[in-house]
Amino acid sequence: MIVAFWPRRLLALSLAAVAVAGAVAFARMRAAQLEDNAFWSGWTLLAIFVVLAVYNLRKRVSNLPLGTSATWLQWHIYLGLIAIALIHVHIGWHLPSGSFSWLLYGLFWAVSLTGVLGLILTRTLPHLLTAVGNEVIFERIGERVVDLHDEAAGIVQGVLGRPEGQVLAGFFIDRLDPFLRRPRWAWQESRERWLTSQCANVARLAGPDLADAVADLEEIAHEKLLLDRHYFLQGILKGWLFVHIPLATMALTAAVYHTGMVLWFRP
Amino acid sequence: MAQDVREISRPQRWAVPFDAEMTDADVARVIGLPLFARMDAKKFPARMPLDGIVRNDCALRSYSDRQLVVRQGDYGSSAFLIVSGEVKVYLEGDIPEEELGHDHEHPKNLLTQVWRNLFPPPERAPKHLLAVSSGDATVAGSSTVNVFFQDLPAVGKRGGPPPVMGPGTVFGEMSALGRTPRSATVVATGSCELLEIRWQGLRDLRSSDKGFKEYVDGIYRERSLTSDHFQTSPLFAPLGETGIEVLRHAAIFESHGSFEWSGQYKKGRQERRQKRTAAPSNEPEICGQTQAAESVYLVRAGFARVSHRVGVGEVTSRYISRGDLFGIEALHAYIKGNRAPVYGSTLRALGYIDVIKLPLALVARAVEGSSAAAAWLGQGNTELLREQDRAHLAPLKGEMMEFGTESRVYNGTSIMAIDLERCTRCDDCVRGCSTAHNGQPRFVRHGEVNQGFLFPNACMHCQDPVCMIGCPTGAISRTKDGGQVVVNDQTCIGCSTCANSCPYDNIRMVERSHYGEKLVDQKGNAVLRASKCDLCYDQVGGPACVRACPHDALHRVDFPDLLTLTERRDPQS
Ligand code: SF4
Ligand code: SF4
Ligand code: SF4
Repeated sequence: MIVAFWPRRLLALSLAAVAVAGAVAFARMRAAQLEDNAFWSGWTLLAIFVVLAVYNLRKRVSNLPLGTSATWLQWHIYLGLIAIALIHVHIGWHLPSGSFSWLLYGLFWAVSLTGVLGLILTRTLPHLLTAVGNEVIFERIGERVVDLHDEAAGIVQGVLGRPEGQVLAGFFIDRLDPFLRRPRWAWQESRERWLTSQCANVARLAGPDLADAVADLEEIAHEKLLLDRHYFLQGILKGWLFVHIPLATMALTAAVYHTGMVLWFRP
Repeated sequence: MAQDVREISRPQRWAVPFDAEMTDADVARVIGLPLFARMDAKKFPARMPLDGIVRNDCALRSYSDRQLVVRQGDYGSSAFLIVSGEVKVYLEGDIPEEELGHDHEHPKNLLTQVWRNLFPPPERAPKHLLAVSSGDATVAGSSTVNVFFQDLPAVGKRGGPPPVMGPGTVFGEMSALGRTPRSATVVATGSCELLEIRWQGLRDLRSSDKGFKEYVDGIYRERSLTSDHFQTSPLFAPLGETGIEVLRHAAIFESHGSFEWSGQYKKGRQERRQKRTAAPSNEPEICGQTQAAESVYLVRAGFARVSHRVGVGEVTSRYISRGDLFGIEALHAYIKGNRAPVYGSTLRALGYIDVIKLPLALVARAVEGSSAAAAWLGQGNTELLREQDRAHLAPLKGEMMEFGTESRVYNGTSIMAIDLERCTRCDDCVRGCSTAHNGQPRFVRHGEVNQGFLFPNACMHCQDPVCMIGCPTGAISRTKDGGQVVVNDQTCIGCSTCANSCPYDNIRMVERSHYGEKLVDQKGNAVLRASKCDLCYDQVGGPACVRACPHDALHRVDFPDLLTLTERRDPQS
């Protein structure tokens, strides 16, 4: 089935807005009747936290017919947005008091912000990755970089016997070898220009006989640059989850502890 | 840590016969049947003797009155020879769908799925493989179904009683040879005995005996003309049975290209990529753009490319497949008064194609006599012209059309296309596939990229699954109900024929193991088995890769849907 994204987004946003408006209106009505909002909003929040956390578990059993991961992600996003409004209903639109409340509130915002950041990253970085081209699997980047290093070393070794070969050897030892040793977690905008000018320089010094060898080295260096960009962008796409998930686990643990304490000390 | 190794005999083509119960007497009896008695056993190669084919690729099957033999719509990879008794043939619609009761070979079971997900079982080799040297064998697979009909219609869809076939007749060859669904339902009348020949045997009999080849090809052509293609065509259906009968009489059946096209295609792929604008090589021309139009073509099976010359190259405007027509523009022009129209575009066979060729003037007369057919023609022609314009105007769609035709992606019914503008390269899809298949994913997220879509090496479940062509044991076949192309682990002997035949490199050969022990043959070489995407046909919920993708980036689509996906991206559409 081909999904149309805009109608879905519009519908989900409208539903989330209606849910938030409903919750705020309900809280106001209760407040006007001098009734407490902490109880219902707290339990709803905890339930939302659990649903949000279960998404990660669901991913591990993705072959089970529990709805598609994409549907779960939609719920994850919009329930997360609803939770941001609901936590403020829960604390009565005031800042928290007490250090544990501050910790919980801080954790909540940290999870929410990393979530929003992740959403932005997952919606923007794929475009950049596609523009880089040269599709490569993250786990294979290191292996490919080693291959490129070996290929470059082989090219240089092949011309060592010739007098101009020393130019290439020097270029390899000083410039290429450190660059090709390992993937770099960097975009390196200026490196592209640097590579082109370095290679043009080496081509001039090495003379026409080694022009092909220099062109091959330049190609290798450019492929490495593209691999670095994949390493950088895919690294970010994988890395943000390493921040978001531990924070979410801490927030959920703190929320459960908070609920337990409230229930324990409830008159 | 070194893996334990277990030595077994390397499995051979006939390690698992089609029917283990074929006795010497049965083989002698079959060879004595008129169709086989005419064959010259000496002409068969020593490694594939006639009695070997009969013993290993044939099965004698007994049927009772009203028992189903083959069901219309099922995929089958065998043909039948009537040994004794008679069968009746029912066309589509003769027997109500609910009475046909399509069976599911692999009932989907949620509990098993959950259990296997939590505790993936270790890989086990089939028993017969481990015991090959001791001669232990199992049945490779039978198409016998125990379905009996209470009431069968006395009158068929076409008015008369259903046709009856008697001893010596062969049927089921269209499906076996064309890798297409069965075109009719066949039911036993009284007790009868049939010889079922699996497709590998049929192929070998055809290639070793000229007389058999001529006979089978002859009935294949004849039946292609009499089957239901006209009734399902929007242009011809309104003409009614009488109008269609007139056309049928004047129709000529033609085949173009090579039935076993994949090897040739793989060889030429690189060359074609280098010369993208040159006229496509290895694609026999059926009609030329400027050629005087004399016929209208109806595709029976296979594919063809429709293209136009632009500059020094050709632009593909569409591809046509089963049920499609070519020559519509010329027919339209003829009816409008142009008595010498040209085709206006070039038609080339992609791989292999069967076409039914009809005289243009006769079709024009028939269409003029039917207002519904004439209306369809007017509308169909306008749509075609619009489509051709769009091939030039919508560059992305045009590019994808070119790519899809060039790389023969159009063949897929379930192409895996990953939208790289949405894909975060998280590999959840691969993990999903792995979870669904005991920790062994059936694809790698790697492959060709075109128009921002990645086409990983995952089986596309082709309309024409050429991977099935060479399989010596029939281990790779279509499921009867869904038509997915799957590998039977039990009968795969790891010969790599399917992997070499698949033009898209979508089958991987993996090492077999048995409870963690790697299996090797007497020479110490690993014993292999074929592994490919099975479209999660036995999983509740369908393809796990699609369900696992959090960003709706992974699609399983056919080619028209792929074009729609691409078009959505095109700023000019
Ligand atoms: S294995 Fe290859 S030829 Fe066979 S169905 Fe899949 S993609 Fe098509
Ligand atoms: S459909 Fe199933 S078997 Fe095929 S790639 Fe997807 S998950 Fe794997
Ligand atoms: S699961 Fe979806 S987003 Fe992740 S790698 Fe696969 S296709 Fe891309």
